[in-house]
Amino acid sequence: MRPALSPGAPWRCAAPIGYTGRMELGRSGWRVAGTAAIVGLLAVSALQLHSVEARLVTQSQQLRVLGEATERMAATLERVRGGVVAAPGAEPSLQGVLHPEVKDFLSPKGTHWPPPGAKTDGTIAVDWYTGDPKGFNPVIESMADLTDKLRPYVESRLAFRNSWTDPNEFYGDVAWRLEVTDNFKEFTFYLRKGVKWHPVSGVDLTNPRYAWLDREHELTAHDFVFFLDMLMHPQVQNGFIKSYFTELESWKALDDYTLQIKWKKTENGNVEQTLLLPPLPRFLFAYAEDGTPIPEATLGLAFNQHWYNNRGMVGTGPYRMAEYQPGSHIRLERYEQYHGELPAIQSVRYSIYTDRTQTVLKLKSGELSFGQLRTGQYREEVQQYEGVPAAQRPKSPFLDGSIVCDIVDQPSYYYIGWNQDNPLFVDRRVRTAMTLALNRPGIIAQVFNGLGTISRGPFLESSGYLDPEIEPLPFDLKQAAALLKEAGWADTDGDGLLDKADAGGQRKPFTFSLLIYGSNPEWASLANIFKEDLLSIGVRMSIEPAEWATHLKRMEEKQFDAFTAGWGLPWSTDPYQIWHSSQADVPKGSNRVGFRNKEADRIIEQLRGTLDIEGRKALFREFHRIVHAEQPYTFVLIPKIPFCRRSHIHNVIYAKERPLQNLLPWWSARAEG
Amino acid sequence: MRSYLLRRLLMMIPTFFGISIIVFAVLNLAPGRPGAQADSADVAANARGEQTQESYAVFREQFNLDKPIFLNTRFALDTGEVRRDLRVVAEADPARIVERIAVQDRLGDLGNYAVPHLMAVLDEADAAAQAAPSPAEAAPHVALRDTAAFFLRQAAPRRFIDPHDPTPAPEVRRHNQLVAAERAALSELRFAFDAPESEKRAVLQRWRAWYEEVRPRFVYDGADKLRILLLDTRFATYWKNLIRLDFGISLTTRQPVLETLVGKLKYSLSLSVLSLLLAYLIAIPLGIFSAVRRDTRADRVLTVSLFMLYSLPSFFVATLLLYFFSEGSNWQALRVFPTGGFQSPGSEDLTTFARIGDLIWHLVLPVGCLTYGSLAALSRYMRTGLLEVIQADYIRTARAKGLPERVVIGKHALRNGLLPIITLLANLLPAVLGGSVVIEYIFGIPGIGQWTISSIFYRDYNVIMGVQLLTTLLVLFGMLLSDIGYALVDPRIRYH
Repeated sequence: MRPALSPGAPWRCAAPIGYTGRMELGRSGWRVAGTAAIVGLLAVSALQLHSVEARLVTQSQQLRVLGEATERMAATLERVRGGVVAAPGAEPSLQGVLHPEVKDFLSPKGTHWPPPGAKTDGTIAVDWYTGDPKGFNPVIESMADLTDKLRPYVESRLAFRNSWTDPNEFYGDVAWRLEVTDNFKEFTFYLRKGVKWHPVSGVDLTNPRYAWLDREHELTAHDFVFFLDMLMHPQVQNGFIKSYFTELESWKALDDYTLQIKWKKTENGNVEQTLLLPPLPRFLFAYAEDGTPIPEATLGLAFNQHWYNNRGMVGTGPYRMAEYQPGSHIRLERYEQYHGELPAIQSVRYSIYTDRTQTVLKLKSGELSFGQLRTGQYREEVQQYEGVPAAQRPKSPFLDGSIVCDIVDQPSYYYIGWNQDNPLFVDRRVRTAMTLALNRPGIIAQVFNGLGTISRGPFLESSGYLDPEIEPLPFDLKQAAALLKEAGWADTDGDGLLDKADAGGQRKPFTFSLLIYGSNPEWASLANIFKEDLLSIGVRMSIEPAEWATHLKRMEEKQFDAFTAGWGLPWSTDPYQIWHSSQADVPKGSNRVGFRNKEADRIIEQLRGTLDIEGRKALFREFHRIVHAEQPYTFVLIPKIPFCRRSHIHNVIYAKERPLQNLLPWWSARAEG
Repeated sequence: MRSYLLRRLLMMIPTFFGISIIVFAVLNLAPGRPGAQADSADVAANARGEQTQESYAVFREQFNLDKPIFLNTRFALDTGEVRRDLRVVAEADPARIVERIAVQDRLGDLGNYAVPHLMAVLDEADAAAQAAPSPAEAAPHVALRDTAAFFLRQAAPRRFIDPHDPTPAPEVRRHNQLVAAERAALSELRFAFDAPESEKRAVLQRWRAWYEEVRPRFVYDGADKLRILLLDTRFATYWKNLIRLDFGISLTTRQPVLETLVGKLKYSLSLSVLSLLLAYLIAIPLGIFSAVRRDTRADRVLTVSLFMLYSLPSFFVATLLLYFFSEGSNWQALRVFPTGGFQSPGSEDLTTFARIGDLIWHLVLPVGCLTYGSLAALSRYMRTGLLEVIQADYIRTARAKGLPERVVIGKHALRNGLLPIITLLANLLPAVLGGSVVIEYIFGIPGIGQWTISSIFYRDYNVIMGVQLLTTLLVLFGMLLSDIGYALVDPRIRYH
């Protein structure tokens, strides 16, 4: 400490601490002591506040648990007393039905859950790696996470598909009876009474602003009519969804519990579209946030940006969407008043994130109990240790049995499309040679680590639409070379490349470029292997990587020789969009390769009007034979997805149709988070 | 000082306006279209003809994407031009598919302005078709006429006024009801391309009747033309809303941009402000240390290690940190930090202290990743700044006075040495917002950076504009702040 240079005030203000004069020491000592005392007191009171708050929090948690338990008990009582669930085998009275003589189109529910001994208060946490969803409105949004991970649980529909044993079969859901005319043009549904919409989540119902929503609402036929009203509304912007309903003639509620839907034409797709219709809560979507009805004239435009679209989802299904925290999670809670069989899992938490590396970390930490891995991640965590003695493996939950992985077929296929408007690929022999030159077994084993099977054709294997006699073409470069020779290709100038005279008589070498997704390393490897093999038979292929937007644009504008892409496979499919020759000339049409075949066109048209399963199978197989002979695509592979789960999940069954739409039979031995 | 501040603040307005014009132009002229790839995944693309086209038209109309960007000259449209475009579509030449797609979009965007021209083409093609001696010769005219009718149905509907207002004024409500009724009636005036000629004729007759009735709508006088030229454009509509502080709604989520932006600000700001603060807190002492111990071994070691840190890309470090130090680590002892996110699930049930603790626990890794990279630059600036000052005469004077080194550096030199680092603050503020994109992605923090990236991918113009304008404001205010900071640190600087 130095003596003060000057007692002048300006100095003291700017001087650093410890430079104050001796004279001030007394006063500043007091100041320090006072401050310390105040800080101490503050700390003490903060601590007190903290402990009070902690007690409050525990109490409110206990209260909530108690409340939930009571609610569940009450709901169970009500289910038993009110007979919401029809006792199995009991025939509902056909009194008041329009056509009692018609046989019910719906099958009695044949698969049941939960299995005996399942724990019914378990919870699971599932991955949601696509970031915050754009919205939850089922009329407008169609992204995969919404259709796979929310809609099957939150919504109930007129009927639901038996994805477990026979996807061609439909069980009643909200409808308990369905009358269909013989020409499949008129559908009359009879709905259950007493089905209640979930309480509206995502808004604070205790806030007077939302008091208008704090009420029980019964599901009626008008809610289904409202769904179609909005779907078909010319102002509502919903991409391609509307196009499935272009042949719809009328939809109306005959009374609160009877719904009639008519189609203009008999078409196979109509059955599925009609039976799987969900309702849309009119009491919510026809109103503005303050509860005033939206003017009828502009309802469609307002609907596109309805205030509730991003808040949550209200349905009548086995789970209600209890919470949505953007950027963090979505929580589903079992809806105890659900009208059907209650699933075993009580609460499902979807963890929202964007970087898929996190799936592995979160599975390991136990934050996720179920998640989908990339093939590379699966190789790194599991495959590379296959055959390694246990002592030499690192310690990882993936290897000690705490995480189990299932390898499941993805309902899709990847292919190389050949531009048949390009003179190079007009000849079917050339396209066949290309398929023969692609080393599919090797590529699947080496590049995809065995996580795939060779695709035989454009339909699901399990659907029976593919001809079981057809074997995929082998990898055979000799035969490929022979076919090319047959097609008139020969190396006349000795440069190692095949050449052929074009229309003008000039000889041109066989060169083309393959458009691939730039961001996918597996496709890059595939293309490189293909390139080498082709070069060995005198064909030069160049590889052109493009990001998806460009890739799509190039395909739409038909600016390609060949491209790689994939198609998702629904259970009942209509080949018209991808394979009919009329779609080859539609701008942005899906028949991008320009496949034109009269016989195939005839089958496609006939398929639309054929509704019996066996007849359809026969036609599909005939179609498959044509596609196999013509090779408009080189069908590459059906990928397999590694789904990994913590061992507390039991009875894991994957749906035949879409593997992820199937939490209902599962149960979890873990009861929280 | 006050008049200076006022002047600076006023100057910000034209600067802001100018920047907004530039950003708007770049954005709208960039290739790619909004909404086009919104529905596409790598599988299950579902293009299904006219309905999709119609739905896309609604989308364009809703977001004014069908309007010209800066100047609208569509009142002076030429029938010949429309005829040429229609012909391209009607001829359906597979070789000209690229042109057809472009022309279809162009015709679809013209809206009401195209109606008289479409009517004219329709009438002349119909006359030509009837005059043709044989059906084969009439075919191209019929195709042209039917194409004109098809686009007429897209172009004819009028727009609603304020369709998103739930409680419109009575006259607006009446107008909208009329428009809705007219739209419904017009949507019935359609026929399939393979419908019988008599049916088509009946529909065309109804189109003509409708046109006769509403013809005055398409006559524009001088004032109309001026209004259309300047105001019926994307830019004018955007600015009209902006003045009311309305940033529009997101093209993908259809939620108000400003609301979402404010909601996400807390994530991004806590990341960026914390890391800036931390960077300054660490870099300034480090810089002072290097300056005082200039060219010693300690200085060199520090410099080298800081530059090594600087050269490590943050996404790489972030992934490594998560791999080793998150709860998903293979090593039990290292499982310290969460695997990502901003808060634990159920954190609303925690006490305030616990919640702050939870937040800090989540922020350690991302803030660390954001911070370490800027340490090198900041501490180097500090070092050079201080070194320059230390050689100045007045420092020598201070030393000569017998002041201890701590006072010489801490009080006399530091103030001036801080100047360059303060200038940097203005530039760092927006950079930190932008720099957190990757970090937000890897750590799953739903901040502005992540949102901007996905918006760019979707060509979500309103969101990009919103974020850009916010960044502009940040830069402008950052510059102002650093100027004020100068004055505070260096009493010699005075603003008038």
